[in-house]
Amino acid sequence: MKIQPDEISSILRNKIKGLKFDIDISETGKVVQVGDGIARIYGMDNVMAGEMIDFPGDVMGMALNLEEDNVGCIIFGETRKIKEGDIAKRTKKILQVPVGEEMLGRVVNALGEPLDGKGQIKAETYHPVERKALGVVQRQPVKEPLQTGLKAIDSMIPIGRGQRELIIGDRQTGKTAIAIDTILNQKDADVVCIYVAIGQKKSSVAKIVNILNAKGAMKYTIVVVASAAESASLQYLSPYSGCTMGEFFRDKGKHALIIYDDLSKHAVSYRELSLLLRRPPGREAYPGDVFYLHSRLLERASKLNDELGSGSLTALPIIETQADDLTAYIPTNVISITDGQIFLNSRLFYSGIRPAINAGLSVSRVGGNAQIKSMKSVTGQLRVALAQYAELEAFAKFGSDLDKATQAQLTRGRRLVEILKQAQYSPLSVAKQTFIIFMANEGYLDEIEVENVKKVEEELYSTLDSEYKEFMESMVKDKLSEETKEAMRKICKKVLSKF
Amino acid sequence: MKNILVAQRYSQAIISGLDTKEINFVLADVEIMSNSLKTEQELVNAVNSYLFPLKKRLKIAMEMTQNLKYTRLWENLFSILLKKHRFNIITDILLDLENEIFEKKNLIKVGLTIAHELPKNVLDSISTQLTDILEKDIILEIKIDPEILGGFVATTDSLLIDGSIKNNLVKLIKVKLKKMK
Ligand SMILES: Nc1ncnc2c1ncn2[C@@H]1O[C@H](COP(=O)(O)OP(=O)(O)OP(=O)(O)O)[C@@H](O)[C@H]1O
Ligand SMILES: [Mg+2]
Repeated sequence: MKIQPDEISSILRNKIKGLKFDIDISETGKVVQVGDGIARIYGMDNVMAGEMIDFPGDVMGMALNLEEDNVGCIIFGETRKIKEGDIAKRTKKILQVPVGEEMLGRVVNALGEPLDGKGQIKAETYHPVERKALGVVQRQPVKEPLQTGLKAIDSMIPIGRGQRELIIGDRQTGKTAIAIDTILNQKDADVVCIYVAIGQKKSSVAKIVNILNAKGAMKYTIVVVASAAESASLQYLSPYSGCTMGEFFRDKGKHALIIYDDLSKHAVSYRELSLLLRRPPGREAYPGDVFYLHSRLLERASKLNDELGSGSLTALPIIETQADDLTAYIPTNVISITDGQIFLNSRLFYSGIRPAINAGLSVSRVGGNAQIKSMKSVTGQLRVALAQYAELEAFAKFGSDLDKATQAQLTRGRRLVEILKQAQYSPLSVAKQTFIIFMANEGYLDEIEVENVKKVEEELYSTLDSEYKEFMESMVKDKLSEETKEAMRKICKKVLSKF
Repeated sequence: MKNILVAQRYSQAIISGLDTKEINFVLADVEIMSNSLKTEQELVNAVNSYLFPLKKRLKIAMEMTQNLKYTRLWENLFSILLKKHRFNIITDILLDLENEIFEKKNLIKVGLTIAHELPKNVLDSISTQLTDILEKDIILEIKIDPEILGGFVATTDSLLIDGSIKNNLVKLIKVKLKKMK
């Protein structure tokens, strides 16, 4: 079909005829200083904290510092497009990001704009990035488990839906790996996952997205990226954006899991902004409200009460420590806000114990209530045996003359440590986890050489998969009865007969 | 930023010592001076520069005040500014003085941008509309800018009133784009 120019102009003319022209009145201020992702605006007396500011050239900003005579703004875009003397407009809106099912499977920036080249996101709903955390009445204690699929965590540091569990450790100790495995394990659990990458290399994020894609996890996941190359303001904003996207699902009565990787870099970006805005620096040059920065974010994770649909938002913040120092400023802050921590240790990591969880220093303060009963039946014994082993191990290095009982405890301990090791990207069902721990607890592995324990474990899983599907389903329904245990013992013996 | 605040302190000090009649004369002085300094930023810089002896700079500054009504006042202000090495904020002071005086007289200066010359009756009607919105008597400073296509854009210190065709079209396009998505 060909359209003649006069046709077009007549169509346009008709359109314009029906138009109602209106006059926009907006409050303005004058940019008096700009640079480093920060602008100061003179005037604009009635602006709200957190309000979006419209700069020339379609650049967005957010008012952070309301001072007596000027407004300090952070800029989400190219600072270069703004110059001194420019007019900035108020929008009278708090910064909002798109939320909804449409976001699933997408990689977005802190403003919810797509980064994955899959075209526009057709979101209809927008929610403000900063929302007040819910009150006490709207919540209830956690009661359903959030399975990470990792034996060491689900058994000893169980996490409940709506909980905030910190993953903390030095660099390269497998922090991100735990988070990713947890996402992979939500495949059949109907939990929406949000992974917020703050201040990471783009290549690392790309790797993670590739894995999520390959394992089919992207379809229930949103990835929010503010990479190291992005401005401090976007890095500062990203966890709040991600949280808003997660809250949408929680408020719909669904379950969501959000991972902040990592809040140390988030604190650093906030420190940068604060120093540029000339807020007074405090300990380690962080501003005075750096505690509030994380507390208001993590308080938004919650389990709703039944009237509100009993949805949940579970948060797994990550903190990087320097030389295992848990007493530094940001780590202590975040430890005190969360409901427990998973402490990863580089010494364990390099000695081949992966995930490198230090069971002694890791706790989950509320997740115990949510732990699956069958699992609970085996973990008490596991914890005690491991603690005893940790003590004896140090002792055993000095003397060789150990009595029988001590040697037995050491043998058991070594095998328990061995079965808690787990490769990346291989989350396990609760039934399998319970089974292998049961097997070790009951001493079936004591006769097996430590090097062969993994082989027995694999044999067990394949036997279970091929022959005992129904049994496994039924065994996790309640705590292990004597009958079930007897059946389990039989399977153990059967597996062992092959070795 | 700091300059604006310092300038405000100076201008407030000046105004606080004036009665209503004097204010009008000062306003006239301010207008003359800002008009002549508007294009003379280099002169201002030179007068504020340590490169030249203070005596000479003082002399030049005093000469600048000769044709004004309140010579004494300006002479005092200029010599204080020069000795404090603050002469560079003179334009800010003048601007703020003007604003303060306008405020007192319930006047407001409005920059009005239009696409092309308009007949007087149209301008008057825009003016009345603006007076209604701003609730003040207005002084128009008209600028022609064909880029806005039609209608008008009015700016004051703290408001932007945009009734231009350009703005309306931009909004229309944005809505259409959103629908197309
Ligand atoms: N359970 C595991 N088994 C084997 N290798 C692992 C395991 N967990 C992590 N790794 C490996 O250890 C390395 C570091 O892991 P990861 O990137 O998760 O650590 P991190 O603490 O997040 O590091 P960073 O401080 O760089 O963020 C990776 O190469 C990863 O493949
Ligand atoms: Mg990492």
